[in-house]
Amino acid sequence: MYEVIDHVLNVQMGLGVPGWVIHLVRHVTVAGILLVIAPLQMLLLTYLERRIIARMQDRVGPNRVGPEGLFQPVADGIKMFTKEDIVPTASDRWVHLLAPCVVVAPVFLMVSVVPWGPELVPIDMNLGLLFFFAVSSVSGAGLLMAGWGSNNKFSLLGGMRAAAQMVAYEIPAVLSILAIVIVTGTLSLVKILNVQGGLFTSLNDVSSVPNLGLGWFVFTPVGFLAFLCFFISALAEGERTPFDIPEADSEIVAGYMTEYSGMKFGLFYLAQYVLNFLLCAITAILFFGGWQGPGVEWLHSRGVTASPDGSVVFTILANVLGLAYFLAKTYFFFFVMVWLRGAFPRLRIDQLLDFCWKFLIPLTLVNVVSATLWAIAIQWGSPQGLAFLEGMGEWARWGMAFALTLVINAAAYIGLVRVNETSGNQTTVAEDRQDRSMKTATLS
Amino acid sequence: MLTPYVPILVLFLLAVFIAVFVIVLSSQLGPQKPGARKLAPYESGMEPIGPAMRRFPVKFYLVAMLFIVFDIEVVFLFPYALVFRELGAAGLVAAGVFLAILMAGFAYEWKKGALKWD
Amino acid sequence: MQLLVQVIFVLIAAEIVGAAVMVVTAKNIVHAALWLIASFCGVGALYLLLEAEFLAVVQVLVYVGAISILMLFAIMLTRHVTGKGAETSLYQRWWVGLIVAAVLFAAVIAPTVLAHPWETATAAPALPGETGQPAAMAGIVDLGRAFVEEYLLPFEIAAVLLLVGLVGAIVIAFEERAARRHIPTLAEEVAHRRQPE
Repeated sequence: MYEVIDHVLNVQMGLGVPGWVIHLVRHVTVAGILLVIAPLQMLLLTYLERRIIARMQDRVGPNRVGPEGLFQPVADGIKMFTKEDIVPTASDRWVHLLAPCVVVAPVFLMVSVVPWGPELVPIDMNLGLLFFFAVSSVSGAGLLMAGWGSNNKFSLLGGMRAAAQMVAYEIPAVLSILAIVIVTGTLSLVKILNVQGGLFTSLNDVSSVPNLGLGWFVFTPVGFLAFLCFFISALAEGERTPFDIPEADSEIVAGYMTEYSGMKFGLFYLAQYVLNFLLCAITAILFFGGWQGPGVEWLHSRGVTASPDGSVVFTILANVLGLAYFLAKTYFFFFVMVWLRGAFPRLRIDQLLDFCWKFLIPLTLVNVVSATLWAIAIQWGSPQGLAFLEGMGEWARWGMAFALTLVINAAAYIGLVRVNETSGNQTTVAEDRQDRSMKTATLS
Repeated sequence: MLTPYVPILVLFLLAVFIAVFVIVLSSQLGPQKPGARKLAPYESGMEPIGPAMRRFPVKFYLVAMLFIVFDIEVVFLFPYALVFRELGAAGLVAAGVFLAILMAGFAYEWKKGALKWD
Repeated sequence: MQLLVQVIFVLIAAEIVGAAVMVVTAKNIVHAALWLIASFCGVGALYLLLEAEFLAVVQVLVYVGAISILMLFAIMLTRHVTGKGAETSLYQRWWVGLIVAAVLFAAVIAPTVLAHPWETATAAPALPGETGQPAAMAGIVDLGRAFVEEYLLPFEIAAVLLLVGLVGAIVIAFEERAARRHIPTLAEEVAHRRQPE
């Protein structure tokens, strides 16, 4: 990239600019590409969501603007731009106007650490994974600003709910990724993807295993449980349907967005859909190998070893194939999100928090312990005083780790389901009975 | 090295610029016909009852407080998770004790019923 | 390069101090809290400038993402949000606060300043990131190692401290919950009325 810009500016145009200008041009180009791609994803996702949910509800959905209604989101965008910009008199003007910016900016920063292909990495950061979650937590403050600055009861209620939900579901999400960090020993998204080559996780060093790019973490008990917990928390973080309490339209109109009109509303919408895309993408990257898949590594290695002319072709092919795998996985998870919206009713806020406290957090904590055991069984040896592990073969160690973590995770899951059934059901049954007696009392 | 953060800074400035630009542009493009009714708080068509910025139940505060304690705990575990391989059994015991103390707190909450949303 | 870093430092420091001044002068408490969040962000940027990546990320995750929300919730629990009646006696005697703050700040900064091996201008200091600088990853790895070796006791005491915070929050909230008048639900009222029959 640096060489290309250097060539264009200094050789072809003969400007002779210094190095830092070239770097700046490079950064601005990358940022510009990201800032174009993210809204495009949002347009596509809103269209897909409306069509899919329509099909699930036995409707047609938007199909008039453009082929199959494909330009509907563009039309919506134009409409939003030409709507009147309303700032309520009683609102806190600057807080009200600043809130959409505070919500949107972090989402764009999160886009920058997502690896799209083997070499399509905007920014490879050592702390990429933690950066992603740290930046995503900033928008909670923006939501509270929106709720408070609008001077509206619905807005304030929605903002409070959104912030509480965000703070709450961050814990299981971060605990799930902690399990992955323990196994991989890195926070860099690129390195986490590199580990997921091979055929089964942690076996890609073994020479007998072909590198099919299928060493996804979801194939291990630790990764599978982490994936389930993470995806559920992602639904809550992205305010997707079973957890869309902050904007429950049957109770509090549109939550924190109630007083927003025109493009201010559009920015919230944009932030939400880009966030959903990113959460699906990060799920695909952490647990489903991102761009890893059969053939990518092979093409990529050919790109390195082949002759100069052929290497470019192979590298481009590898990146295109990787990008296709990555987008296919990401869109599949978005489809699952829409599917859940079509299938599940909305939770109440007490159910939401109960589920987090009494199910997700204990489960993810157990998963962290299993991840530790997995890492010990696979990676430790004589330096840690466990020389007997080295005596076992790679396959035996892997099998032992798999069986051990599977038993622990399954036992934790079943145990927690039992505990929650006994403690949860009794109260709901009692409440039910009370409700029914109340109803009969009022009827009689 | 700060180099990976220079593009982040560029991206941040561009993103903020675009957000502000979009808001300003839409406020200029749309019609401007404000009215007392239009600028009043929206309460499903009713006359607004009382001020909107009122006190809130302590429940939200409790939830935030409990979760932040856990947040900090998890953050403490991240540096450990990265070096967990080379530290061996001693590190395992240290982190185990750390986690056990917080689990005691979690058990206390659960027993006390603090996790119930009223 | 060195000059650029210093210019950036001055900009960030000005942002932090400016936001902090706004925190204490803002009439509206919610605005004060929002300015404090801006100040936190500046501190995060400062950590980044000092090449403490992990601390910067944690600053954003814990302070900007969590503590700020806690503060906003706490403010919304109180009655006087808009600042009427905030003119307390302490506000007029602002110099007391100033002296206390100065003494506390001196107590924190003095040992650091005295113990710091100041580099005099004799040797040209190495440019950051060029020579002798540890790789960025080393920061967090060293931190993890220090937690379980050098600073084992503080690490465990931090856990106890968090536990105390947890228990304290529950105790305070439960007092509030008990003090609040119990409002019977419709079902309870019906059940209560039925009992005499």
